[in-house]
Amino acid sequence: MTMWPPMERKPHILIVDDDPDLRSLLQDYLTQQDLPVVCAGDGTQMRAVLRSTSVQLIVLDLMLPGEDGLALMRWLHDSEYARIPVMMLTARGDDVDRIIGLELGADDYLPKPFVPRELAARIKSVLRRTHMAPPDAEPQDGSRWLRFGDWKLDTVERNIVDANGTATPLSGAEYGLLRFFLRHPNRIVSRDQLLEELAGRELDVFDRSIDLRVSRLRRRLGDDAREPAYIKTVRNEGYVFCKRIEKLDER
Amino acid sequence: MSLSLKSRMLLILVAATVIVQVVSFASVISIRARETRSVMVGLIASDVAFVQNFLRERPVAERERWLNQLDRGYYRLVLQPAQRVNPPFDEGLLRQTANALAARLDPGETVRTVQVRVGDTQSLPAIEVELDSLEKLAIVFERDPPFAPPAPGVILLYFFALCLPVVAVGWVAVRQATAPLARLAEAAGQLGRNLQSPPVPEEGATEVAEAARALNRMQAALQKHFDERTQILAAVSHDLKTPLTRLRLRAESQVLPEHRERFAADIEAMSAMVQDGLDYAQSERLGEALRPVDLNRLSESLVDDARDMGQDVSLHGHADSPVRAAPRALQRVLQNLVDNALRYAGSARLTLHCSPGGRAFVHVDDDGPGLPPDLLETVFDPFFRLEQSRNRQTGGTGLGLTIARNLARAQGADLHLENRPGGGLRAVLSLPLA
Repeated sequence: MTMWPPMERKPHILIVDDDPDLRSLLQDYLTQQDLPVVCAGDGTQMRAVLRSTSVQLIVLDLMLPGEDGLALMRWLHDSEYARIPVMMLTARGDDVDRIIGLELGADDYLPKPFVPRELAARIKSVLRRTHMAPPDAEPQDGSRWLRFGDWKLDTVERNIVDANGTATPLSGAEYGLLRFFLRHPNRIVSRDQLLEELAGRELDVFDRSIDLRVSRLRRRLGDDAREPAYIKTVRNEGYVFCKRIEKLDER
Repeated sequence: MSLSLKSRMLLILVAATVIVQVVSFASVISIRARETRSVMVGLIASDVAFVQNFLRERPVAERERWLNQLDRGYYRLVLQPAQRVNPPFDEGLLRQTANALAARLDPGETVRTVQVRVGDTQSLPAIEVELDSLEKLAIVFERDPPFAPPAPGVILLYFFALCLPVVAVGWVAVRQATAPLARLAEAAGQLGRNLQSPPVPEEGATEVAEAARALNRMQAALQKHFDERTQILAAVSHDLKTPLTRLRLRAESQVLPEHRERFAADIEAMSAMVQDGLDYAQSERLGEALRPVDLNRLSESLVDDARDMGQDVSLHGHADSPVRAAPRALQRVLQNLVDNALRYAGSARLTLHCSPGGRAFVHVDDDGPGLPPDLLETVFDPFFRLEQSRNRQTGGTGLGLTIARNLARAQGADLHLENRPGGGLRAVLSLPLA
């Protein structure tokens, strides 16, 4: 299951961070992980790199001298590079960054100080996700509320909200799993795909059964395992998320 | 003596009214008495002068018969033999009347103030004037003069009747004056509990409005101070995060594999401290809105995660209705309580229930040694750590419970600890229902 683009094209991960020490450490680390890296210290360098190099993902620090990460996000969004996935890095650690970043269309968000293995896993996960997405898939990023069945998902606060307006905050793994299902509705998702998706978010997921995770998510959604309305089991193949998903502008 | 401002002001008002009334009442009475007295003395003098003339012209035998018709009620006319000697008696009003009479009569007439015994009565004050060689006339004053002050009971009743409207009007006035003050005190109390409470309305009497302004200025200064504290902590933690990230990357590549794990653990502990410090600084302000939250699902998710990590955490009971809370903050509160129980006792038992009073309760119980009663509150102090766990590996930063309580209170919940009767510690989180 190699979803990577062929290596001979050498698309790079572009790291935009103003700390030269951190840039070179990241470059060393990710290169070891088979992820070729180019670096930029600010927006000007970033544009220069984008013009000269084939980039498959941008790791963008929010706090930059001059044009900050959010300004660069906006610029990217309106440029010919809008299709390149962006992973936000931030040291502020408050939710405002995450909210703004995700609403502006960042594909993932990682607070500093991150564990290097998690960064690598998440980069791989985002790459897989972008390559797997069917061409006609509705882009859901940039929409805060998604409705499916009796539930609404708040992708910013990471709550599910029932028909009465009662919220349940999801744990990181539950959210990751549900988000993955919502991105791939009405198609069979294999256990391997789920495992790899979750591996990007949690490092010790390998010990746990994916089936257990799915059954817990079903319970969280009030779904009956024998008569499932949301996540159906396809024997020997995996799972299918079988509700229609709607983007909501308002809550 | 501790009296409310209202009672004090009312007391002063009533006392002042009573004093003013007593003084004016007394002066009115005395002025009226003087005027009445001089008018009356003049009347008595002219009356007696007439009676003296009248009786002199009547034969002695007829005089007694006329006396009844000449009686004036207030003083009595008595005929006495001319030789009778009455003991002299001197008294202010009597003397004044006698003088007025003497001035009225011919200069040769004798007017004397005496005491007279009429029948078997006691001696009464009297004025005697000559009639002829046989008889003299005594004017006997039987009763007090009519201008004497009213009886004490009447005076008391008068004052009572006077005080009633004063108290009534005073009550209204004092309420008007003290109501903004009471609101101010209430607002100040609110501020003590929650620094983010809205500013006090700057209205009412000048002094009260000024006090409200002062309070609002103080609140603004305190908020600024708190915000600065948060900003400093945020800045420090931000500046630490990039070097910590670098350290982690270095640990991956430049540290010998056999040291890598301990390196990672130290970096992990430092990151946790930085994050806890930031969380603590921000814990008095919620970053999300209050909304109904499903306590059952939230707890299940928490317990599932803990079990996945091999921790001994169980869930009992059921919350019959959703609570009103900030979902992420509530999750954090429960996580901290569970972490605390796991750290000190190795296990945690969550129990949910709702009270008929409209609150939901989460008990987080452990089977550890519990706490000495004097530490049940102290452990909520920031950076407080139990002596035996001062080492960072197990002790945490000493902010977990502080953050939990701050976050709980910021969303209208409350948190306390108690020792369970059967042993072990219980954290009680009480939440308002949605």
